[in-house]
Amino acid sequence: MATTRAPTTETTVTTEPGRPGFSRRCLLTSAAAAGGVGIVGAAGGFALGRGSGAQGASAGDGGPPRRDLDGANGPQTEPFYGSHQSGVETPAQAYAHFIAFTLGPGITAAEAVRWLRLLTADAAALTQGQAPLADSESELAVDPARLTVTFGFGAALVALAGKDHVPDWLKPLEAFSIDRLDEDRCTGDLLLQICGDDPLTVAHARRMLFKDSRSFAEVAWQRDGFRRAYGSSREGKTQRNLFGQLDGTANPGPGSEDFARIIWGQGTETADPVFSARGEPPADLGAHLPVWMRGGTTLVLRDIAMNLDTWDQADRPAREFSVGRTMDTGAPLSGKDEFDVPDFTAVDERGLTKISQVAHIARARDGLGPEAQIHRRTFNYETGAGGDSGLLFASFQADIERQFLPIQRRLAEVDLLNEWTTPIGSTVWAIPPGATQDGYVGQELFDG
Amino acid sequence: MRKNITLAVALPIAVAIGLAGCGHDDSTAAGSTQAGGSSSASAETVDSRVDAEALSLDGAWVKAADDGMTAVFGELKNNTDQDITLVEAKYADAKMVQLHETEGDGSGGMSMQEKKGGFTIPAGESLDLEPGGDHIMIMGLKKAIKPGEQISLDLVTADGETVEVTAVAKEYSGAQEDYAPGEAEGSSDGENADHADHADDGDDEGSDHGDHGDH
Repeated sequence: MATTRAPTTETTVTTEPGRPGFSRRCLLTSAAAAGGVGIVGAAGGFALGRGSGAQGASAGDGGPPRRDLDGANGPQTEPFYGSHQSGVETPAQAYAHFIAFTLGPGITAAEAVRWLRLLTADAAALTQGQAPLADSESELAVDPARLTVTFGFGAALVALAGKDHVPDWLKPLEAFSIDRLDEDRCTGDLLLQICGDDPLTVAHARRMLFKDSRSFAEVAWQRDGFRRAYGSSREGKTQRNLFGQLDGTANPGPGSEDFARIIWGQGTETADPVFSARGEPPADLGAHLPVWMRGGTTLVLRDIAMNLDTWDQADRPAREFSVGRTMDTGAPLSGKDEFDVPDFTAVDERGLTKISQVAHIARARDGLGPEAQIHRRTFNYETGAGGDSGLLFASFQADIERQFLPIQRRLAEVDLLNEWTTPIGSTVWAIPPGATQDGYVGQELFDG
Repeated sequence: MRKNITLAVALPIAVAIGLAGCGHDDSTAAGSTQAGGSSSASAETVDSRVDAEALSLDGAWVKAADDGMTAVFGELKNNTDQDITLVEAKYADAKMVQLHETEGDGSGGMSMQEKKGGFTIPAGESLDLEPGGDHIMIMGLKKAIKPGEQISLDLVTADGETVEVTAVAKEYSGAQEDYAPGEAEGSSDGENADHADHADDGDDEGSDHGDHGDH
């Protein structure tokens, strides 16, 4: 049913490390609207977007929003070179394509380096709206629309540089009782996460990267995902998944101290860091990462099937009870705003907790410390009416053992949402740091 | 011969010859967000140029091949105020290298032939070497050129200057113009089976190599 509340919320699905207060969103919201949690600080430029309210595309005179007829987003670029790879802290684009490759037989380290150089060069050009070498459809390279290409390394690729470079966590996750994994979706030695606001640009990028991979590897699997189209909602607004839930409320804000610690594993050494209501995360979450990953992070990519048919059988109260949030605003059942901190002790007139102890957000965060947070960069998928539906759950965190697994274990144990969701794919990736101008992604590993 | 390329660069290469010393800044770069559509631009920068470049081959690449023949492409830029003519290219691991132009056959196909007199690049202008157009043809490969490898070749100008350029190998299915009979030693990927006959007369006007760059 339609709701009358502002569609600003979000929810959570599967694995959300729920957490309350937080970062940028929170800040904005609290600043612009109610005065809730008063944290502030870390909100960078993002805050503006959200706080500026409804005027985004409007004429500025209070008139109705206007359509952008000028192609303003086409030339927008995200950086390629830098200490971190783009596509992690980057505000999520509208489309994502995940493609995993399996190394060809007998591939050597030298050949892998040639491959990585080719892919790096392709990505460096494409993300800046330029045609890579030998691009036979160079016209499709213009209008990058915030294209990013993010590289993830699997154990076999890392091992080419030396087995002792393979971190012990770079392996399949432990088995969970809720898993119904398709082995074909759990493989791969190199992952490319290709994201952008324009599906044609994304398709072209995928084609180029694929063509330059054929001599070195085979496609293991590939998955497409989507979120709101560019321009449909204000940037920074939490996305909705196909259950209709807001998805990602608990994420740390880009540019925040929380983000630096939780995802990049190192603090920014800001003078007076501000943290979310979850508390101060440890500054050493990345300490366990090998030297070649400094500036990088880890990715757990879960392919989570969502059963829309059985979800249809759940009425709104049941849906909200299972998640612990309202469907419309995404507010915790103990609060009013999406970014209100859930109060797991609040009780209703009957004396029952407003948020069930087995609701998703309670399982995902109640009792877990500030280190147990992740950054979920999720994309929906749907293969057609009556087809497969789900969520490509990309979870970035500095330390899988300390951050991802505590949450996942609890959710696997008990989570009302498990009734409708089923993990069918699962992979773990090392996300190397960004490339330097004359270098390539993974250079610290192979040349180190 | 001077060179400037660095093998460390993932992309290509802007090589330059230092004929005269006409200054030219490198720069370029991946950082500049152009919004326009540079056609064959590469995002790379090579900042190893020591000499002011008179002639450069930007965005140089070669079609990967196991044996037989292949071709080198890129943007030949004359950064001087005088015309430069490229008369020869040398590649150590092949039996022969020629400068080729292509000729349309009137039905979308192209045949290629050696460009008599070489490529003249007018002062301040550039010549695109690209599939379906002018290119540097390598014949009789003595060893495979694998994707991602960098090869070096020497470009020789009419006044005897030589410049070493580097091209990165890319897997590429195109660039299958008809080859001259007798030179069809098989392509790298075995896909171009139609080595039809071709005219090896070199008398066609060779004046059209400028139009490949402006589409």
